[in-house]
Amino acid sequence: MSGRTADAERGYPPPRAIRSLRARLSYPVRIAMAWLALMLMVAALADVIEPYSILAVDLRARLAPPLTNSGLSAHWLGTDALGRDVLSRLIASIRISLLLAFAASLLSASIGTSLGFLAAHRRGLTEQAILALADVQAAVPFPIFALTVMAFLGHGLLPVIGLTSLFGWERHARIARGLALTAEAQGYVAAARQLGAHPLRVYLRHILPSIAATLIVLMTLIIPEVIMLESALSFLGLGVQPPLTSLGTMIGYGRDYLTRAPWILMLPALIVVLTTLAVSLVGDWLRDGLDAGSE
Amino acid sequence: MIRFLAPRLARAALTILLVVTFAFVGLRLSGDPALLIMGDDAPPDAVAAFRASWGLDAPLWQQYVTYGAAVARGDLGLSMRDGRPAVALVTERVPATLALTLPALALKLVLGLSAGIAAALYRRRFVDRVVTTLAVLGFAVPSFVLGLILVLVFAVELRWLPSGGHGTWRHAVLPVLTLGLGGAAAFARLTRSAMLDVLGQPYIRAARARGLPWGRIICCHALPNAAIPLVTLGGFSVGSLLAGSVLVESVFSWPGVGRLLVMSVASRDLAVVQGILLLTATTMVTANLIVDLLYGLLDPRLRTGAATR
Amino acid sequence: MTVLGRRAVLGGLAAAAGSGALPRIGVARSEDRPSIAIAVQKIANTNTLDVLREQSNVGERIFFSSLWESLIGRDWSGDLRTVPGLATRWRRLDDRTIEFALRPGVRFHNGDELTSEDVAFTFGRERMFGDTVPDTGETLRVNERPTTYLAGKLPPPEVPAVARRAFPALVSVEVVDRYTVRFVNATPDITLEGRIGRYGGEIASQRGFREAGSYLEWARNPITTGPYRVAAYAPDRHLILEAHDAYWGGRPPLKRLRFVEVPEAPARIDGLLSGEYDFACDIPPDQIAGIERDPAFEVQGGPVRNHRILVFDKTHPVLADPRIRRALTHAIDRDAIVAALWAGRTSVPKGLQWPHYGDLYIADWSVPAYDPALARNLVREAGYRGEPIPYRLLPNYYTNQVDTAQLLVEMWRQVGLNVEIHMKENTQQVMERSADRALRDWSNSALFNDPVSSLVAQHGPNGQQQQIGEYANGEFNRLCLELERSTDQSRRRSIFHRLLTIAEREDPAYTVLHQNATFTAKRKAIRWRASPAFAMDFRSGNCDARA
Repeated sequence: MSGRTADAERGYPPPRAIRSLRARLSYPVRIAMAWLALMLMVAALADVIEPYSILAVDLRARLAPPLTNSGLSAHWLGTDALGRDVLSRLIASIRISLLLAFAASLLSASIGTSLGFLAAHRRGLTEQAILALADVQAAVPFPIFALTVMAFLGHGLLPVIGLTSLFGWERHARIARGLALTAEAQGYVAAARQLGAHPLRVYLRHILPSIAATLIVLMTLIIPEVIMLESALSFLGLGVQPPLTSLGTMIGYGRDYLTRAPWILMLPALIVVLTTLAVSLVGDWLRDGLDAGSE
Repeated sequence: MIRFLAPRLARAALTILLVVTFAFVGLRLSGDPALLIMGDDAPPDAVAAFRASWGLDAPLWQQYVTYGAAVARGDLGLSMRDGRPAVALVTERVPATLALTLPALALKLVLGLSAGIAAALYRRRFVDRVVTTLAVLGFAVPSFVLGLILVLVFAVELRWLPSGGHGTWRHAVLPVLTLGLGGAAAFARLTRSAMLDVLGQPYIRAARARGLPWGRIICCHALPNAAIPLVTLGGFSVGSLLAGSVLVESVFSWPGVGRLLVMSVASRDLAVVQGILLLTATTMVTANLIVDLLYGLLDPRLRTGAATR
Repeated sequence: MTVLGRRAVLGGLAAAAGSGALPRIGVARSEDRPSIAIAVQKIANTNTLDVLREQSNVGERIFFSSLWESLIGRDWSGDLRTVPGLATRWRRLDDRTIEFALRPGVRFHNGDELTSEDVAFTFGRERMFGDTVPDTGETLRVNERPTTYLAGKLPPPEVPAVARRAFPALVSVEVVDRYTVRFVNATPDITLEGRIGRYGGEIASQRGFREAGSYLEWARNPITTGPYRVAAYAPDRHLILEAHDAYWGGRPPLKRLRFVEVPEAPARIDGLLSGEYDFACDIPPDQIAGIERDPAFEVQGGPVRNHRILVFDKTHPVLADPRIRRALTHAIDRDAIVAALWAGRTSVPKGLQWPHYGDLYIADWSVPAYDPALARNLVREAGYRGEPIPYRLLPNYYTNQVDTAQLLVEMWRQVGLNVEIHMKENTQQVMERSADRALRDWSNSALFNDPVSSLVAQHGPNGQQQQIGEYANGEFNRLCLELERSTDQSRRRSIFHRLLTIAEREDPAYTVLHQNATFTAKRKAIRWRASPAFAMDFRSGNCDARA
């Protein structure tokens, strides 16, 4: 069906080793990588670098604009309606949103790849079943699927983690299946088989490394979408709930103060934009590198 | 043609059947419908009567068949919040959503195509740089952020347009822009790369060598050949528009299906939610079928089965 | 409209006027009246326009005084004192019986004249009480689950439950003649007039109800006597009311009232400023200054007769110990909340009571003092070891709701109480009986000038709090019944004092946070005065929108 053709048209490269990437490391890509490194560092060190507790209220310093120094306390990025430090909340939000996005993308990649391998290995009914499931997943736009599941089973942090870890599994499954089938046809896999290697070993030791580059590129396409999905669900009030905070929760909250205190909304929005941009740039660069390597 | 169509139709039917199954499983997982609707404290005989009338005492497969038959008749039950049939509730919101998504789709196609073509024709020139940069940015800005920024600029600061609501064409401008611009970015990117592929082909070079005017080459030779990936993305955009409308309708208080969905999720109005799920799935599957048909028209090799993908 | 069209319409209306339904002069002038649009956060929580189903602050706004009217009215544009409504006079026959003289010539929206039959019907089994029995003191359990609408005319179970909460001992309404009715109570009740005039006792047309296809159809388009009638209602979207020119109180000044549901406050404000709406309701106090920077707009309103409270579930294992509930009440710095989140535009009342209670107002009562040290002691004495206390919260149904809740959680943390916010999506989820129900937000109004209208009606044996199984207290429940039946005001005063002591201090059922306030932004060009209530008065005395 068109889903499969679409994968090909989206430009997922065939399995090739990564070569000649360093040569084409342009400035935008370097900046993107630096930004991602910064974000990951912020997420990792959140507890250490948060200037205040994200819950500490200060009713005398409500809605203070950025760079306010009220004598007792400095709020570099201003405060919200309860006088809570926006910088600290931003750091905590980055941690939750990015952790969630990266972890969920990894999970969905593992689920999808395993199912794709399973389909390639078993063929027959299993393969058809997995492909049909992938069709169903592709037939409903993921946000609508996510909202439906939340209507049935409830909303909040846990459902968001569960749902985001399913995001994009069907793309991974289709690609992994296709690539595994190609690899199966090649000599070294057959050789390993004949030597009596366990199928699991064949897939993990021989096939996976040869197609890893393609799957990583696919992940760089999926991560930004997961970041946006989480922030959208939280923006709608169905994702991360107070007292926890995420980039989407902050944007949703900041919306009430759009005119009065625009910094509450603009800063998390900027982080979302820059991070998805950075991941996409790095992903493009990886993909270009893979294509170039094959020329 | 039948050989081309039949497996695709079968696949589409199977997909819908699986979505219905998913809805059935979801409904059963979410709790005992009798208790959910009647309440824990309902007298036992009332619960029993309810179970009997809804066939809840039958074996699971029989319930599934009954459910499937009801869905096929377009009977999804009554909305819990509203008391009216869920289907009626959903369909009365469809025009409002179409009033957003159709102009957005048009905007997306026109803007995306022309920007993409321009970028491909002026590769590595200023136009290309601008289009590529905007396209990447357009992808990275979530629709609700774009919507809020547009509200801040055009509704709050300049007061040119209303910030939300529904009624005149002026209300639709900002939501349509929000929905269309993000999609146009992806479309421009793909058009550009598809055009670049085609423009590098020998027959284009041959046409140029024959001295055909550029406009003619683009229209008659390049575009039809770049159409296949574009048609695919067109099919996809149906899905992204539907998903996007959920957020955009929430940002702009637009009374369409998307806002109904968010509200029904909050109130656990399962009948309405599954109605929207089925409507979406049917729309998407139909869009995919149309895309497949267009492939057949655009590329005879696919129709005859000479090239299976 | 073309000349021909107008003439045709006028002809049609004149024919109708010939039957005596419409005064001719009123119709001829109808073109000069403007229509207005009002952005509200929510039109109705239950998606119905039935006063016994939609008992809410948002319901009060759309119902009174535009749609529904009582025998005993209220001075909405003044100080809310009682005034003659659909009844011109009433007198006590004894301490259980009141006789009402109906206002002659009152027309329902369907053209019928209001008679005593309609009043008897309104307070009858078919529309109001179902098969409930008066005065049993039994708790009717409702509201924990989604409502079921049964096919046909039977009201959902909430309706009789709410009716029995409002009129617990009403036995019958007897028709004396076309314009005279008698209300008979099972027990002596000196607040009976207040009850009959309260939210829920408004009069519906008997024919209007009987002719509707189903309860739900009727509840979306009830035939009443108000100055405006329902022209279109699209739940969750808009409600359009149009002028009822035969209104007994004079020709309504507006052609149409369009309530538009705009859940987000910023969108309501933007819409007002950009000319989309003429009114924007529920303006957060933080935004008032920003709106008033534009000289074309003003913000009206202030405190209303409604208190924001926090409700305890006594059956939650941690809250079972009253010392924990008391600690919760003493840890709250209410003045700080009012100063910071309300810009000082409201105040902390003296518990769940209002000055208009008159003799029964206990002026030397107060909310539990802000005393963190006492709260800490209580927590220690109770042997509390940090078990989480869930706090169910809706996203900003009440103004400042989430901010207030987060502030409260911080205040409680200061005294060692570990309260966890659990965000919920709808009222059912907030009230649902399960292990994580402990704290929730609510607001209470005094629907008439007596404590039974709030403390007893909301927290007594048939109040919502007990109906959903959060609270019970033997002495409290006994005294509630006595307060309802006693006719001795000084005895009633001491009962009320004791009730407050139990419900706010000894075995807290709830604690009052602050008086609620509502702010309405509008175009200055429209002459209109806000009521000290959620209700909006668009009758001719209070509204003039001619440019």
